[in-house]
Amino acid sequence: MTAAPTLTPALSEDPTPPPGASRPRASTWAVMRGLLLRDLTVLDKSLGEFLHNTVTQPLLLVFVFTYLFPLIGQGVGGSSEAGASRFASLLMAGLIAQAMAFQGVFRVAVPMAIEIDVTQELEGRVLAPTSVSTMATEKIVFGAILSLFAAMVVFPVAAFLPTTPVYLVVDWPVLLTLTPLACFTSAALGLTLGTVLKPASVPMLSGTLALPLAFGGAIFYTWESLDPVPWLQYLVLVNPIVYMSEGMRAALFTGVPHMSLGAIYGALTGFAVVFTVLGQRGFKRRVLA
Amino acid sequence: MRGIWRLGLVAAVAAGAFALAMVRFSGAAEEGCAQRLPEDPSYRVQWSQQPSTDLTRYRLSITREGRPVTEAEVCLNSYMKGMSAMAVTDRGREVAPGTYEVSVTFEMGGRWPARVLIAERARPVVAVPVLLEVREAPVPTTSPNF
Repeated sequence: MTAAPTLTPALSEDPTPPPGASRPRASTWAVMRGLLLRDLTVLDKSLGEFLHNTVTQPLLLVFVFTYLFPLIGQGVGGSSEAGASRFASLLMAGLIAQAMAFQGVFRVAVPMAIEIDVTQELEGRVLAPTSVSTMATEKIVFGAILSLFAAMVVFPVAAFLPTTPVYLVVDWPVLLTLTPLACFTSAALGLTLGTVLKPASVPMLSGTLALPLAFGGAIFYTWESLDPVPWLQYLVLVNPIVYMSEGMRAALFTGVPHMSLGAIYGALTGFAVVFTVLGQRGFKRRVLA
Repeated sequence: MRGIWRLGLVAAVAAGAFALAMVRFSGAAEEGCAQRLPEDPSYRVQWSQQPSTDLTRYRLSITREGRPVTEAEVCLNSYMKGMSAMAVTDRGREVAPGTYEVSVTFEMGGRWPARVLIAERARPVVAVPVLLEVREAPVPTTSPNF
């Protein structure tokens, strides 16, 4: 007795190949590439909105804190140029982390919540001849690419806008390993949230999640400077943006205190694994329901 | 790929802007004494007096293996521990063989981790870490003069 042919191979986690045929590994990549191309094409159609969302926040923050404030005598970092430059440097690392985190989270979570519950596009896409896990992974990879782009945009903003110099000294091995890890973690968090959220609760995301993540994410201050408030210093350790901000400080500046690289890599890897597992499970639960 | 040519163009522009930013950043760190440098334990830096919030000039005696370091470029870079954006920096001027003067104002008393960057002729540039205990000077009390 042979198994009945299935029209929806992706609905089973590991579709059985026909007898005598092996499922080539390349096909997974081909499907992944196709899905990525599809998402990028959709993004290309709304490029203006994407650029607006990506550039506006870092541009405004850098403009206000490192251009406008020093000019109107409200510069952060005291009266000395060294203090102002130090703050500009601290802020730049935090902004890169914030850009990565928010782009990764929002670009995955919001469309996913809508695609699952409103447009039900994902139901159509699970017909693709691949596993549901591959589709969930593609979502993370797509979010990570956008997250990486958002991080890259902060560099020219911070290079040309501030009135005070930013003393950037790149540690390339750290930057080139930490950035992809942080982007992947952000997108995986986005996948997790996207599979949990209902479309009606999406507007709440900025108030209930984004703001606490941002203000508790060591973006405007170093984690070490929370020493006088120990309860907060330990509470913010559950926030992945803390490790991204501290990691960017380690990668881009010298003489600026930051967590040990072991703690940064360890925590981000842990978050990436946990969010990927939770996101994959949630994705399967939602699309196969 | 034809469907994403605009996206490709934007990515290329962003990559170009990133490269330009790195070029602009490249010289700034040196100006601000913020290079990533190896530490060398053979150097010793001694302060002429304990740093205090009411002083603005300090003399640093710099030696390497017990001998004064002369005709070097010296730069001090320090920040206050626990304060995200309180920092001082200055380049030293040699006022006597092996003695360099810096003008900095520590705005608050407390711990100020510092790095003294030393560039001797024909030797690699090194950083010497120093932990400064800055004394909070008493605020002068003056009677109101109506």
